[in-house]
This record gives sequence, structure tokens and C-alpha cells, in this order.
Amino acid sequence: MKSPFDLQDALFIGFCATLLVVLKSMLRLKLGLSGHSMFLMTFFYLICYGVVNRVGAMTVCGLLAGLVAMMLSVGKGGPMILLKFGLPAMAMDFALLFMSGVFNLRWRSIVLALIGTLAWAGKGLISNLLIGMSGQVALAEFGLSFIQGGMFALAAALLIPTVLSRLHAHDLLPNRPE
Amino acid sequence: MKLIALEGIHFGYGSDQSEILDDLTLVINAGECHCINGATGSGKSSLLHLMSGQLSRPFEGDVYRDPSLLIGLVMQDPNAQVLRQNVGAEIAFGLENLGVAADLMVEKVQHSLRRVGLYTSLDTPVEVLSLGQKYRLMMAAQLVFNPTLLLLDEPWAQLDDSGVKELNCVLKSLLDEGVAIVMVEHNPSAFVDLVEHFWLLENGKLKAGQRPIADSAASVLNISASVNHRPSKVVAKLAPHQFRFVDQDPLFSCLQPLALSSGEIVALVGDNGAGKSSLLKTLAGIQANITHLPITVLDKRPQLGIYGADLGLLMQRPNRQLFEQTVLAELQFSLKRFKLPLARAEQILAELGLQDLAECSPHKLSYGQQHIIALASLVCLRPKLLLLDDPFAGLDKQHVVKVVQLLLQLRSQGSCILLSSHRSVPFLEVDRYWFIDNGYLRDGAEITEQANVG
Amino acid sequence: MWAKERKGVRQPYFRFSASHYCAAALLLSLVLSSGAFFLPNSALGWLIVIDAILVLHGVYLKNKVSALLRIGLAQLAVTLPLYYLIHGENQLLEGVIVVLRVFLALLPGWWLSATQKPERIGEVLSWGLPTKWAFVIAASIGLLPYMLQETKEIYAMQCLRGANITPKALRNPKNWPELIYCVVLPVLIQLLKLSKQMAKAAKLRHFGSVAKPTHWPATREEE
Repeated sequence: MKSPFDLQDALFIGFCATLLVVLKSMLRLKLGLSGHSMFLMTFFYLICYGVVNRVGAMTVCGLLAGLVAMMLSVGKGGPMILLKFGLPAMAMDFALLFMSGVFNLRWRSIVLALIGTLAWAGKGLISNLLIGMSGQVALAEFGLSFIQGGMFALAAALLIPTVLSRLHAHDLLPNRPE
Repeated sequence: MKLIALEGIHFGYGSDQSEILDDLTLVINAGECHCINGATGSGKSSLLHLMSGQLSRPFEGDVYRDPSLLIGLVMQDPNAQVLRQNVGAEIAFGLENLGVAADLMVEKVQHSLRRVGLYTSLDTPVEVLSLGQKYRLMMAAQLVFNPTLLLLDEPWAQLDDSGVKELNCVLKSLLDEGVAIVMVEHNPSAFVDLVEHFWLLENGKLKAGQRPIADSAASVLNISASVNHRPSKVVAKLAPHQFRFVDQDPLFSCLQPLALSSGEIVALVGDNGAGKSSLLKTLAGIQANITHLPITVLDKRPQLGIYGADLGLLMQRPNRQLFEQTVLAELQFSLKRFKLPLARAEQILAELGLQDLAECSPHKLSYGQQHIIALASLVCLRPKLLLLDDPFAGLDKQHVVKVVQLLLQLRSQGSCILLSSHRSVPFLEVDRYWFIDNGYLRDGAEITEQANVG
Repeated sequence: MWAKERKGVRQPYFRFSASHYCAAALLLSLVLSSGAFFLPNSALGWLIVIDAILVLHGVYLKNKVSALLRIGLAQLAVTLPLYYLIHGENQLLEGVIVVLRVFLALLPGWWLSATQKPERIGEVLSWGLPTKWAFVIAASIGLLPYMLQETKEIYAMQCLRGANITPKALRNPKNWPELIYCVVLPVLIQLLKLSKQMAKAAKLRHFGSVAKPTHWPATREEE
């Protein structure tokens, strides 16, 4: 990939990705509910998007998170973990391409969060189908994880506008996503 | 030989603010040592970054750079500049980026380590170094590509006395080798033997400064407190103990019982890494991995969340705790949570003469102002015990005065204050010193008397 | 069978370094994981045998399998009831096979992280990465202890200032936003500042000035 991100933005994305991985591994066993990882993913991806303000920031964050997770041996997924982090991020970035200037930040965050969850749950659906799970069971599992993950993702998305506007009020961000 | 010359430099942040550098002129020749002093926010750091060519915003004026000029810049906080995990790789970072062949690196790196007087293995992890050693490591990381001009940003504030002494030796030998040095420093007296040219940066211009008398920083502030000795109550008790982390060697031993009483200021003095911060955190009940210690604070074993507004702790770099939209909200945050009168926030701003800042974002303030606001937010709770970790670090005189003012006021209200510092604090009238040296924590009552006489 | 092959890999005349060995392990785990998805039921037996060897290898190197088993059981607990509800008893076996496949897909990853050092995996992964991103990852991981320390300290500071974020207070979801504003926001501010400073520090040391930077010899003979 060409990397036109400047070093400062790249480092910030890297820090977010690392923090995401570590927080996820710390929270994993404390909360019984599956889907809480969508909270952290949505939160950090949207923060990266808001701070760096560029299409591609979320994808980079997701891929870096996957790489970091492999290097830190978090979540014993092996190479598969790259997809787990990367796929929702890529879906969100892809959706962003069609959304520039359509919604305000709050609604954009919400839509992106749901799209991310869709990709996350969809990855589970596809791998379950590949493995030979019956369509109905796979769909039921998909629905279950979409609802659980969606709630967490939504909660994160709702926090984003306030956090970003605060960062902006402190003059810490060069440009706010309009 | 002229290395770099600045002429008629103008620079400012945005159009609405006045210029930080206004028609500034400066010439540096090889082997010279310059020291630039000035208040916080006077543009000292901007000037260094401008010279190094790393200024992010445009400026006006002429800069002459000699073809032989190669600049190294050591920034303030060594911890924020460490890019690698071990000493060798850290120093080699610059060489890698210049494309120096790997087999030439080891020798260059070792030479550079010797130049700053660090005799440690190349595989030493950076984290085991003291702050003073890290600072010199950062210098080595610059010296490895042989700069002809070395820029240093506020070295004194980061270092303890032994660190300053070591740095003096290193700088001396660099000057002898013909390297030019420009340092920005609000306590130039610490480097008085090296510096040939003293400057004062004021209103955007450099004025020739006077050669400071050694250790003058100590005596510049003269604040007298109205001492009123009230009957005091013991606030914290430390029985003799060995202070150590779980499964580690002791940091220090405390052989005699120590106590803190209401209405007194005690200064805890020791070198970097002696265990001052850990002791303060232990008293506040937030230090993890510490063995069980015979310490009681306000008649309880210290634990997070049991003291409410009775105990305050100001950690290093207290600007980290700021998060509200305005300074006033920041000050009112704890008052609200502890259900104390909100009017105290405005009152303390008025006492500090900072009412103008009430509606500002705390993150737009200068480092010194942020420091004062963070401290004020604790002082207005009127805690029974206030712990301060190095509260004077990196502050210029103007802000030191404000900190002293707040502390004396709090003491007169009967609070006990324990503050740590890596040097003695002659500008604040403390009641007692505690010292950590050679692995012992002791009450230095007799030494305080000497200091007061001196 | 596989163990033998791996031994072969380590024979000196191949001159395989530890990193090459790690790359081979990475590839192997990738192949085995995909096998769990695409192999027909009849070939699953072979896959189980191979994965069993990996488990033995991992356990031999004193790694715990309990986390892995827990994931497997959790998966079983979700999928089997669904199968029972939707398809009834007769297809339960099919459900078991599905869970088995999921488990077999995860297992090589566990083996990889159990037998390979994270740094080594990082080195292999960064073979293909551009210098900048390799630096970003190394710096982020290197700074991890610092970031966690900062987060802990900011949390403690705000607790002492009376924020409703003690573990007890956090049981009430009403207090969760306070955690975001008092702790996460300041941490983000610190990360922003840190990224700015580190980028500056790296540029001051000529980061990005040549297209192909050289590398510090990590293993060398001290002079």
C-alpha cells in the first residue's frame, strides 16, 4: 500500500490499534457477553477516522491491530485474527466512500458502526457456512451476534461525536470531519 | 567559523495572536556555547525547532546555514523520544535512516556512547537507565551522526544534581571537540562554567543577558509565610520498614518511625529513582505490587477511594488529569463530586489572579498554567493531607511563586503537605525535610537547620 | 511425521535461521487452519492427527491448553442447542462436526503463538511491510508498557479527584460515560501528544531520508 499518512498520524493509529488489542484481551474474560469487542473496535476505528480525518485510517488501524494481536499472541486465533480486526474496518472505510457529506457526524458514526458489525457478524456467517454448518443455524448465530455486537457498537458510536468535539475544542485536532 | 545565522526572524501562531519571535537575530559560531533564557511561552522551544528546521508552521526572515552545519536536537522529555528498546538500537536509529552499512554501526554507536560517558552494554534495555542516563543516551543518539551544532531544550529541569554534573562534563568535552551548543534553559546558573553567551528572550527579541551567579535560582524568590503554630494532629504514621516491590530488592529502608502532622510542609528529597514517587503513591493507596507496609494515613491503611476529599495527590505532569471544557469546570469537578461549595473554584482563581482563564479550555494554556490549575483543583478541596510529586518540575519563577502561594495558604488552613523533589527547595519555607539517600529514608531535622542558615 | 520434517528444517546444512523456521510455522498454521474449512469430512481424521501432534508439541513446551478448551466448549454450548432447536436430535452429530472444524481452525493459531516468540512472528510479518509501518508497529508495541502505565495513573488521579469510576461505581452503566470523559479522553490526548513528539524525534534522526534504511545488527559480537 502507498502510505501517504504522515508519521504523526501513522503513530497515532498504531497506538490506538495497540491499545485496542490490549484492552480487548484484558476485557475478554471479565464480560460474559460476546460482542463487546465491537465496542472497542468501533470506538477506536471511529476515533482514528475522526482524528486523522481520511478514508483509509480505519482500515490501517484494523490491519495494524490484527498484526499487533498476532505479535502479542493475543486471542489465540493465529493468522485468522487479521481478518477479525481488518474486515469490519475495511467495510466501514468502504461504506465511508459513499457517505462523504451525506450525514452529520453522529449519524455517520451510527451507520458506520452498524456496517462494521454487519461485516463482523458476516465473517462469522461465511466461515460457518464454509465449515458446513446448516444455513438455518448459521443464520441464527449470525442474528444473535449481530444484535449483541450491534448494541455495543452503537454505544461506542454515540460517544464519538462528543469525544471528537472535545478534542477539537482543545485545539488538538487539525481538522474536524465535516 | 559561522555555522548558522538568523536574521530578522518573525514567527507567530495564527493571525490573531501577537508574534512569538519578532525581528530576532542570532549568530552561532563553531565551538561556542549559548544559553537562552526566557519565561514559559516566550518562544524558546520554537526558536530551537526553527533552527533545527523542524518548525511545523511558516516563518519570515533569513536563515544562513553553513554547508558543514549538521544539527542535533535533544528535546525535553527523554521518555517521549525513546524509539527503541535497547541502547544500541536506539543510538543506531539515526544511522539506519542515513543508510549507514550495518557493519560500520557498532563502532560508531560505541564511540558515541563513550562521548556521553555511558559505559553500558549495547544490549542494555533502555528502561533500566535512570532519567539522567536516558538524557545522555538521547544525546548519544544525536552525536552518532556527528552534528556540528547541538541544541538542548531545558536540560536542568529533567535532571537531578548528579545528572546535571555528568551533563556538564559531557558538554565540556564536546565544546573542546569544537561542537557548538545552544541550550534553552530557565536556570542558566547550572551551566555557568560552560556558557559564553547568555541571552534573554523577551517580547520576541534576544537581549544579551547577564552571567548569572552560581545557584542564584535558589534565592530569587522571597516569600514569607505567616507562621502560626496551632496544635497539630498526626495525619500519617510510618513505622520502621523496608520499602520494596514484591519480589524485588528494597528501594530504601526506614529505620526510625516517621510522622506527618497537620499544618506542616515536609519536603521529601532524593535522587531520581530513589523511590519518592512510589512512596507518595503508597501513602495515597494507589501503588501496585508493593509489600505490606506498616503505614497508616488518617488512621487507616491506605487504599484507593477511602479518603474522599481528605487526601489529594498531584502526580508528575499533572496536566494529564485535565479533561473538562473550561478551567472553571475543571476546578469544580471534584467540588461537585465531593459535594463541597462550588464558589471555592472562583475564589481560588481570584486569589491566583487567573479569573481571565475561567472560560478557557485547559488544554490551550501553557504548561505552567496547566500545572497551576491542576494543583488549584486539589487545593480548593482543602484536603487534610496533600501529596505532591515534584510540584516544581519544569516551572519558571512566575509559576513557582504561584505554587508556593497555594501551598502556604493551604498550610495556614491546617493541611499537611508532603512534596517530593530531586533537589532541596530553598524558595519554600518547609517545616522539615525527609531525605532518601544511600538507601535510607530519614527525617533530616538537623540538616534543615543548616539549609535555613545557609 | 510432521515432527520429523520440522527437525529436518533445523538441520544446519539448510542454513535456516530461526526466522525462516518461524515463517515456515506461520505458513503451516495457515494451511492447517484453512484445511479445517475446506477439507471433506473424510479427510478430517488426518487433520485431527496432525493437530494432535501440534498440541503435544505445545504442551511439551509447557503451554496451557485450558484457554483453547474453554473456547471450544463455549462454541459447543452455543451451536449445539441451536442445532437441537432447529434440526432436532438426528442432526446433532453434524453440529458436533461443525464445532470440531471451528476448533481445528483455531488450534494451529494456538500452536503458533505457543511455540514461536512474538518478536519472531513480528519480524517475519514485517518482511513485507513498508519501513514506516514496521517502525509504527515496533514503536507502538515498545510503548505499550508506557501507555498502560499512563492509563493506570490517569485512572488513579481521577479516582482520587472523586470521579465515579471505581470498580464498584462502574457496575452502574450510568457511570460509564464518566470513564470515557475522565480517563479515555485524557489518554487519547496523551496519545495525540506522544505521537506528535515521537514523529518529531524520529524526523530529527533523519527518519525517512533514504528509501532503503539499513538495519542495526541485533545479534552481533561485541567488540
